[in-house]
Amino acid sequence: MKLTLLLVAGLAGLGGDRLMGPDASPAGAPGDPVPEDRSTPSGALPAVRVYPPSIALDMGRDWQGVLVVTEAIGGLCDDRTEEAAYEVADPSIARLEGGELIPVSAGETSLWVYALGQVREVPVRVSDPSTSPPLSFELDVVPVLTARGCNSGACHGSARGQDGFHLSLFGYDPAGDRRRLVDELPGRRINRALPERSLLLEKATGAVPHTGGALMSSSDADHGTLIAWIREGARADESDVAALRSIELFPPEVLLRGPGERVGLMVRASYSDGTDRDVTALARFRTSNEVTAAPLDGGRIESGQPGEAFVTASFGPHTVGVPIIVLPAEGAAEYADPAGPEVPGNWIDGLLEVKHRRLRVSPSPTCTDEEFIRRVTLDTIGLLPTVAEREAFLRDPRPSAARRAALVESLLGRREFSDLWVMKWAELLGIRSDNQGVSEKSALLYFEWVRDRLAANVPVDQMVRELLTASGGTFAAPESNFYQVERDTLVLTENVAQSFLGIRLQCAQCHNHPFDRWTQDDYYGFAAFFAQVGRKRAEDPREYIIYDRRGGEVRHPVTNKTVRPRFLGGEAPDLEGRDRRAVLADWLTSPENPWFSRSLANRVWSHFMGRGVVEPVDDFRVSNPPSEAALLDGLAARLVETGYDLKQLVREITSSRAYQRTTEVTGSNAQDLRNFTRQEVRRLRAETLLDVVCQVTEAPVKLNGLPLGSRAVEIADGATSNYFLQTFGRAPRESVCACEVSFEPSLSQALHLLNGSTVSRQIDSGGLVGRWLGEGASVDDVISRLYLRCLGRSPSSTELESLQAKVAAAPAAEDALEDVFWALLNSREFLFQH
Amino acid sequence: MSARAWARFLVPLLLIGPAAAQLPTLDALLPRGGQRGTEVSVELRGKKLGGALDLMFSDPALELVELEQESARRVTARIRIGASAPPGPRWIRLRTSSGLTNLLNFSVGAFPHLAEVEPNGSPAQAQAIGGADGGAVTVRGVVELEDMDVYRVEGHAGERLSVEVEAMRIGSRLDAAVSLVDSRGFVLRSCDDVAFARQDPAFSVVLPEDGAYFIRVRQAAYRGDKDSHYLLHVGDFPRPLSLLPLGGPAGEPLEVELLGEEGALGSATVQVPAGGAHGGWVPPGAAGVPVELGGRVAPTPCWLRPSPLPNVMESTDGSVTPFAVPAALNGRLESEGDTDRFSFEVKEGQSYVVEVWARRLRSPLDSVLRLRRDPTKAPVKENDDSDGHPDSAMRFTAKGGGRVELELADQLGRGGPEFTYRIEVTNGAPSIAVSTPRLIKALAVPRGGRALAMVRVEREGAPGDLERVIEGLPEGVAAEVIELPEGMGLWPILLEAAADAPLAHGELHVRAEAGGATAGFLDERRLVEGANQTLFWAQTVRGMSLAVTDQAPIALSLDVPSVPLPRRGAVDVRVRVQRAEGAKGPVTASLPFLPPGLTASGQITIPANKDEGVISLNAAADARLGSWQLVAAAEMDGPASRVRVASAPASLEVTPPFLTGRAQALSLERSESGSLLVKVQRNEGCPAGGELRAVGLPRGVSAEAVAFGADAAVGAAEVLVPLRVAEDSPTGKHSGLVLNAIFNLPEGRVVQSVSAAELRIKRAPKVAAKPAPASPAAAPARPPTRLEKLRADHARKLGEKGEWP
Repeated sequence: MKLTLLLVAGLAGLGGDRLMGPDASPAGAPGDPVPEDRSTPSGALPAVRVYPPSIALDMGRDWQGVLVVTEAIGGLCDDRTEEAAYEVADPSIARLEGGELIPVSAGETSLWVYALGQVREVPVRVSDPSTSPPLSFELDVVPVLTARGCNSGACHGSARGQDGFHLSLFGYDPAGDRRRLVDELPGRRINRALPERSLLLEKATGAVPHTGGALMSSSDADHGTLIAWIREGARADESDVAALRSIELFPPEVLLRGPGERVGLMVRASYSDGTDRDVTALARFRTSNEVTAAPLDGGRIESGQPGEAFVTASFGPHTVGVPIIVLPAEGAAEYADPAGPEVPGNWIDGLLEVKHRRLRVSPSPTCTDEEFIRRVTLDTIGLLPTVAEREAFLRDPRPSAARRAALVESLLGRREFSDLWVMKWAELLGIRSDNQGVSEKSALLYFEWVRDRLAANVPVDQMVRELLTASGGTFAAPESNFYQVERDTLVLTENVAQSFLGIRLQCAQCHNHPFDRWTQDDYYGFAAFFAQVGRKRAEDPREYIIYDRRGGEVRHPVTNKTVRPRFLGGEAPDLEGRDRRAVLADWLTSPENPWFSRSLANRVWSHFMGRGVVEPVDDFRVSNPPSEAALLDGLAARLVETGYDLKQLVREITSSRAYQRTTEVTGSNAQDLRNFTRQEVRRLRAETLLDVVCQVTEAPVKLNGLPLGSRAVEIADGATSNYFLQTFGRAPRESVCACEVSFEPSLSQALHLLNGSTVSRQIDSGGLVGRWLGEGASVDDVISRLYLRCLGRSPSSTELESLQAKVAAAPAAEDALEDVFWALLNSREFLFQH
Repeated sequence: MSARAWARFLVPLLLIGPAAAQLPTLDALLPRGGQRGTEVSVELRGKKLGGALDLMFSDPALELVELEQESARRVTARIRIGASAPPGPRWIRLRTSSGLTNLLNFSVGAFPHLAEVEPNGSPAQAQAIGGADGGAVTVRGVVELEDMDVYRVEGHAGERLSVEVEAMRIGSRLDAAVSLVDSRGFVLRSCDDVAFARQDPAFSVVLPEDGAYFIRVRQAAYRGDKDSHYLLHVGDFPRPLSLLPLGGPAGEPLEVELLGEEGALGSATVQVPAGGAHGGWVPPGAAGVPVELGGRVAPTPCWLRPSPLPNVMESTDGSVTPFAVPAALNGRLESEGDTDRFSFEVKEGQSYVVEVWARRLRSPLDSVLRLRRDPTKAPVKENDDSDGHPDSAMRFTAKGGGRVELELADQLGRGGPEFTYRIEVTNGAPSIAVSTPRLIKALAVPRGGRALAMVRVEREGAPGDLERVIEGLPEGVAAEVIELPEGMGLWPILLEAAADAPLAHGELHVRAEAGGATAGFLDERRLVEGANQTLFWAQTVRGMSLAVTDQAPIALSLDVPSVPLPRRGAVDVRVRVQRAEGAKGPVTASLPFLPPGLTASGQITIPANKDEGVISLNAAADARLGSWQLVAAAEMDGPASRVRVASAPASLEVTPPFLTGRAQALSLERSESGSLLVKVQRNEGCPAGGELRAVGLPRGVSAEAVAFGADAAVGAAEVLVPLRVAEDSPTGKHSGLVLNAIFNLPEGRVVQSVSAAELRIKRAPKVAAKPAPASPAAAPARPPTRLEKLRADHARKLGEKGEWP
């Protein structure tokens, strides 16, 4: 498939003004006969969009394809590249050949594109058509090796290479790759005299046995590129070879209806010398959802089942993506928000509504007060509402919105609110004793430090600054345990990126990140901020002193040169006379940092919605975009505006309709898992579950290292646990990964609840049923109290009747009622947040 | 860390090796302190305490009034504490008829003692104690698991309330944390660790208002157990955390400022001690002094450096302080980010030693010392920590004269009123240290028997002969130092008690002098250890405690043959045990020290039915020549506890080799016989007679011992040692052969290795076939390259595929 040569015509994005470049639409260009009207009423012509918006051909062998997409009412896309007609205004400057624009002579002209009776003009500029600088290994050869998969992890890019030949993974080390091709075993892989008989090419074309099979034919353009490079002497690059700066992916958004629709994509790379290239044929395409949008050869995608997908294109170290929405072929319901007027919602709902409308998905209605108090109490303080609290709330005569807001306000004032977030921070910071550098005392002091900061409402950005710049003894200044919990500079670097920025940098330690923008340069530049952290033993053998060594560097593993500290995706700051960590902390927590506030906001959102806008919450990546970017931006902006006031953000999230929706599906949102059209049914996390079991049975458990009556969320040391907590997936805090907390149900959880000691022991030691019966409560009474206490509702009449019958049939009422209690604690309604 | 791992982590370490449980051992001493001028009843618990006779104290201010044996695991005693005893810890050992126990600490206090009364876990249940206006008190308490002890004091605005806990400092495993809370529940002050008291808390505050205050004591990580004892001192006493200046000439009065966190508490005149103190963990070169202000005394001493150097005080206006070497520079880093600078003239080629004394004197300062030639440029030398402690030190020889600048800062840029320091700048002085190897902690000399004490002497730049002085022997005990070569730095001291020596104890003081330096015995006894034997708290001792005990059930003698031991030779020595009636147990014996180059076969066990054991001695090729004294030591389970005894010394002569020689390499085929030619040289003193024997032979090879003439005089000779190779002996080069000379003399048998040898064993030759004449052939075609083969293979394969559509 000659995609590289594709001359595509198509239509442009579905209301994606935000994502589109300013020149994406040629509307208003002089001589444009059909001015575009984006709000065309039904029956009007679709808009025509041509990509790229302008064309520059910089040398003799340069060329550029064209993509024509039409955008119909509602944003539906159609690829018209093949049907469109093209004309170059001045054929003496450039000409069309097989769908590609080829330079003829220097100058400027226009490409006219005719589609659906409309005309679009694309400016074309040709410079230096007579020159053809020698091929560059890095810019020309490595992309071919990457595109053909030679340097992928399964082939020669694996850590030890394959069949004796090793290339750097996805070409992160071009100089090394050339050395291995040319200088390792001289004369074997490259044949300068007869380039086409080089082993490299004979393997690639399958002329000799090749484990990887035949990857190209001798007529391919890529084959020609390799031969040309060898013919030019298989030279190493000059030091001033242009660097790849960025890549663009067209069109910026795609909306399709029904399966089997195909749309072309185009990738254009820009270089530091101001040139660009059409690299569609060399890019690697991936989809986040194969069922909805599958990449085909040559950079086209084909729609499948209705849903959302994110298709990324990677070229060199860069990855960019395009969101693809596929609507059902027929009968998509119109959008409707059934939320009643008593829950007005807020700006969050406004942002979500835009997305829901585009998806033609209607959200679920808002929940009842009974559901709300249980949900919000569990989410905010990690406990169930007591019977008295529930009654007081339900009796509150104010309108629903005011009543609910007042409830949230009272919960935010409780100590348990900050306890819950202290636990989350303890997971994020990996507070845990070990046998090397962190004693139990250190872990406790560190935990208490976090607790004091959160209890005192210290803004999170300030707290993070204090952590990053911590110095002193791990006992005297417990925040310095931040540098003691993880003593490996590189892992520490990764932790900082993952905990505070939501970026998983790990891949870039050994090679450029395959699905994200991070290169080894980024990784080691970031690590260099932590190169001067000094650690020494204090007098107490359990204590360490963290200090700024004012010396020490990290080395780049490929070049073995020291790397200057450089912000992730940013510049190398001036560090003269400053603690590197302080400089980093200023950048990391500054409002301009795009990740810090987003990552934090996303974690808070995820806590209340069961799912982050970016999910997993600590995996922000080009290829894992937010499900609704505007929402994430908004949440982050609110955090920054309020000075990182966690409580204010909680107020806004809990007062949104999005938070208050039921978990029931409406029909159109049955398939929706990521757009917050309803609340998630989520299992209570391990600590909360143990705490509520203790709460409803009024029987505290003894946790190691904590006084009797302490709650599981108060566990200071991650190394402390018990069987119940382990079974239900408590984070052991061995890494900072959010994935440590498990919400996965398992057989052992079910068995532990059914047969294990925890539930029945708690019921026995609480002795509630016996006490109530002793106080003269009737069986009905006890059943009702148990329902209210465990599930936050009264039993239905069927439930009550069947239970009455069971209790009456039992030899001892108390035992039977305790069985009811046990059954309630085993019920899904109790175990799940809903 | 699991709870179990934690339990491992803070086990108080009681001294001894594997046999620990079998020696008299103290596990607990309760209470852990008492007020001076009173009599205190204490309980001592431990193992093998039968036959308790007396208590041994580190300070004569403590006196035993009464001792009562309750059982072999429990002894009670009444102790009288002298009224003028300075406050602070002392150590106590129990002496039984079979030995001395390990030491435990006992704190002498200035204040009346109260016992903790449980329950006291909350402010409502708080135990009312004296306090700021009721006079200072000391509470004896225990922090159990997850326990919190709350005490209530009444105070008035403007009054000083000082709080100090002694826990690890008295050998308790408790890592205490204290907070002071006002009547509304606000924490006024929390203290976990403070440099002044290491893991123990200590602070002093001025009360803001009248009313009740609560003092909460807990374990720092909410652990604790029934052995987590503490003494809590509460009252209006001064609690200076450091002094300024931090030292002065020994024996002279010194005007010092007493400094706390908020600044100077006042000034006082102290007497600089000559060295050491009655108790505590005192690093060499430091000393504790009791501090008093306005008639009120602090519960534990402050620390000073006795040294004859003239004191120079830092200039108060922030300028560079000039001084001349030698000097002791005294000052403090008053505030955060402070650095102090001093300048002095150096002379070309002269060496200098700069040593900071701060943390070792319990100042919070973590010093960083920089030396600059040019104040505007980077330092030429920088030091943070030295010798395992946070104090900095540097040594240098000046390259060129001129003024140089010393700069002192805190590693973390901290500062404060109590961040005092002392920098001693000298041209280097010789030093000597006298201590013990870690194994020996307390000595027991049985009546009519011997015991061995080991002393280690290390010296730095103190040339010349070492003078030694041994003092403090109890009546009837004699000491003999066994001479070992100077470089070993080891003095075995053989102690012998007369059969009628009174049962008593004493402290053996050993002093060494050389090159103008002198040093007394100084060592640490580890009291609290964590995981991997990390040290939490130790007690400094200034002598080796020694007791005369009941006669031992065994007597030991060492029988060394009167033959000399040549270098590269070996000889057997015999350890003989004389058992008293009923002494049936096995005895383990060893040679605890040997001159350089000698090795012994290790510890032996003489079973219950034997009275003798053999230890092999080997001399290396570079063994030190001369006549040396050897002593055997042995131990066994006695009737009351483990008994250790030593033999009388026996002498051994180490001589040059009797024979030197060289064997020629030999090559034999399988099943062949031959002789190794050994050229030997008989040296002076070589006994007549003897035989030469090859050992270390490969499998199947046999050799005969060859006698060489009884008449042979000194001089060269050639000896042939016949060898026979078996038909299946391994072929190849065998270089592990050794030729030994064996002398069976009437006084004993001496074996000496003469030479290494090499034997090559070859395969027996086969009858070789006659090689066929080479036939002339056409020049071979160029073989295909690997790539060409690959191409051909591939083409063939493709072709085959074609045949099978």
